[in-house]
Amino acid sequence: MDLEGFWQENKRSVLIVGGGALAFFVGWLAIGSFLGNDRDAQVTAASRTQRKLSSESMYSADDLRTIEGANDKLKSAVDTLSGAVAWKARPLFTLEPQRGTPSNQYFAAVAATREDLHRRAGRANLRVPEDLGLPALSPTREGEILRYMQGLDLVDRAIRFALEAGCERIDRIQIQLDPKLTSKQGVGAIERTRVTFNLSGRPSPLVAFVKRTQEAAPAADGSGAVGPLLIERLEMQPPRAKPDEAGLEVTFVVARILPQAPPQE
Amino acid sequence: MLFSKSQVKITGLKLDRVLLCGGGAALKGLPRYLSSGMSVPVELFDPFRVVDTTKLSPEARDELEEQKLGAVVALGLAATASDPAAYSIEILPATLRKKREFVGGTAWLIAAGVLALGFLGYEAWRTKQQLDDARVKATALEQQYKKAAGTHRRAEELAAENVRLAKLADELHASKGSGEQVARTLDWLAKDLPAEFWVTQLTSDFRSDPDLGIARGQEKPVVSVVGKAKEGTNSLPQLYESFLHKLRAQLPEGVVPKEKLTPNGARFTLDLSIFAPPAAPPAESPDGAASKSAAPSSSSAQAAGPRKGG
Repeated sequence: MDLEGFWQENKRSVLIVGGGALAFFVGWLAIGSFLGNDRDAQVTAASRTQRKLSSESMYSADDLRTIEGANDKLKSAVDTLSGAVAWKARPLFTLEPQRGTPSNQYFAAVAATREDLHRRAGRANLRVPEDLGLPALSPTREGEILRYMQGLDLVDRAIRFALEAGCERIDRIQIQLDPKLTSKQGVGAIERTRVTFNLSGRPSPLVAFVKRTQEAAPAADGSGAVGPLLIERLEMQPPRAKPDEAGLEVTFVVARILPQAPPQE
Repeated sequence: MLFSKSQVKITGLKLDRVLLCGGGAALKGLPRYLSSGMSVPVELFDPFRVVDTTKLSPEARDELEEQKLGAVVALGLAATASDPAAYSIEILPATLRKKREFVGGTAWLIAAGVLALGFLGYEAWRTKQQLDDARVKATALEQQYKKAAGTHRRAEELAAENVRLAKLADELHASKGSGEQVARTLDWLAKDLPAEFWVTQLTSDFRSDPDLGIARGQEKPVVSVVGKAKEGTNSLPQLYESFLHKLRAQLPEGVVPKEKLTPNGARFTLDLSIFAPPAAPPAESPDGAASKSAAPSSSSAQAAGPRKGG
């Protein structure tokens, strides 16, 4: 039977079977298109996620717990250390709104301190600089006033300790605000007001002075001056002209701990 | 024509030529009439062109020749009976014909269609199941990944914060302990420095010192002592070594001072920092004893206060 004859004889069946096959194929494609593609996409996504899970190096929950534990300990340590390092000014050297303007409080504190210290130093034959390390031009901004008053608090304590130690001469005192206060980067976590003392005289009172600044006991004069004072730098050596004496340059620090936000990425 | 098409079941049957047979075919002029009406050649059918009649008697052959148009039906029936491949014409009741058609073709087509639909349904169900499974798995994995990534991100943030806190704690610790270190050093010198020696210079500063294990950028308070000895004193190295021994015993574990005594013993220098990282544990000698100058390995800062909490 030739093709023409086959077609003539089976045309209807061929058309039905062909149409059915086409419908089947379309249905099969539709299933693949609507469900199969979704399934393949989900399988691919699952594989990709699985691959990421197994290939990427990540901290585990145990690691996180360990780090959280370390974080708690560090926070506790920082709190403890901050409490020990941060300067705790006495009431005379803090600014209180009800006591008047900051400038008036500053002048009052300076006058009272200067009078008391010079009177005590005169009695003990201790030479103390007239300016107590304060700037010639009084500060006008509240922030600066507060910092100079804290520096003055440290000067007051150190001079009282020097009196107790029997020191002979305080040649120079300098209060220097943290130079980073004016920088764009800021002072960081710790702001340091540095107070530098230059003392001279017999070595043993100078050694006693250094040791006294590191004791927590209050001064014997009832002023409430307590240590320890933070030492940033110290140098003690005999001056060339007087080999039996010693010169001491020591820089104390008034520290302010500033709350710091974690760096943003 | 229609009858022929329905009988042979070929609706598109083409007509090339018409052969007339039967007794009526002998009507005069009929072929020409039909040819002009049907537009195809019409001829009388001579069945004996394909039938061998030589074995018939001459009388029978003559008689057959006279009745050849009328003998076509009988001859056709005889030929059909002897040839299985020949066309056959059936005359059936309509119900029986439909039934046969159904059983012979339509039923199979329906069965095939049902099977195909069933297969497609099964395929759809199976693919849907696979899709649901894959979706559940993908969702679970995605959630697992998100959770892991969240844990990782939180851990990284905390780790970064820990680094910052550790640095701050170190800084605070060093600030707090710098003065205490000076005071302790003064005590040690007053208590243990032999009378033959005296101190000519004492400094304390935040600085780096690779010899003490303090790297650049991580400056720590270091106390430096410079001293001299009385000239003409015997056994200066031994006295100095004795002082060092006492000093080391009072230092926190792991703190190794950097010291130097001039060969004649007249001058010494001593640098130390209790904030320096603890020294590495000593390498053991072949006989198992640690080297003489090595120090223990635990943290030096533990004695003075908390260091990195992590």
